[in-house]
Amino acid sequence: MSSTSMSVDNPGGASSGASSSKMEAEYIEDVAAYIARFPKGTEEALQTMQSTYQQYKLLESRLTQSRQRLMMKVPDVERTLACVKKLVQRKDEGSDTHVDFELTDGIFAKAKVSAENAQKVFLWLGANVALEYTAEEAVELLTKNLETAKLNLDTNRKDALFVKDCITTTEVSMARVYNYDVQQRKQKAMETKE
Amino acid sequence: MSEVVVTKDDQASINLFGRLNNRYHEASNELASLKKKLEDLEEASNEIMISDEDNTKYLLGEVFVRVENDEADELIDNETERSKAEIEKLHEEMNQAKSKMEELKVVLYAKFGNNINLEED
Repeated sequence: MSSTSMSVDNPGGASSGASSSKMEAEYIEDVAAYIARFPKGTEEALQTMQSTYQQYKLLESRLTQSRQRLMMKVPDVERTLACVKKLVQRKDEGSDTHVDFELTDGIFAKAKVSAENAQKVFLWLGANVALEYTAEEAVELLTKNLETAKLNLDTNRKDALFVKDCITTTEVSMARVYNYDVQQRKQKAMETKE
Repeated sequence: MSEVVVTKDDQASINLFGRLNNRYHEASNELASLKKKLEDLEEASNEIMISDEDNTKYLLGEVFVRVENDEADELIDNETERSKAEIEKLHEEMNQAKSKMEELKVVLYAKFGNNINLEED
């Protein structure tokens, strides 16, 4: 799983490594044989499946959460990148950048960033630390972060699909075991009548 | 209830249907927010057109950067193009998902009849 994220703020995309074949939901070939695996029969089989199902559901909600974080992060990095790129462009043109920045909620102040001051920018690394980079380095770092975030999003998507399959399979399997049990009972009832 | 055997292939079809259905909904959410963005961009572009100022303050990151109107137009155009391309992609993806789901529905309903429900709640 890609955990090489070197991000400006909290990576947030650490993938949970879901797509291991070890935890893939089992397709039940033969329902009767499957139930026979459990000493207590259908009831135990259903209970076991139910608990697996809950685990998949938990995993799914974790993945959804981490996806939402990543989906916020991507545009965030994109915005920062756009800002730094504009600064670089202005710097290369040798012109100053005039900005209005928010001092505190709803209060804006004017600022002039001269071309020479635009050589260096500070990137917020999190944990109350900002680090100085040359503008070019910053562009490079942010571009890399953006790629990593997108990659993590992709991994997350794949993991989510995998878990989705497991959930669907387990749902179908539970229904099949349940139906099989109903059928068995009906048959038994008929036999005793005769 | 008749005994219908769920084969491995059936299971795979059902799983695929579930995936497509998920993706379809995700895509339609993404589409909605992109359409909103497109509207906003259009509005911004109109505002610049009727503005008396030569400069516009364009929000980049967390600061408003003073840019010439032409430059702002260019920035907005770029964003618009990007959003439009994205919207197109989503449309295509949704159409593909939809037609594939229809195909799967035919197959699965033919086999399972009323024992399966593939409709939205």
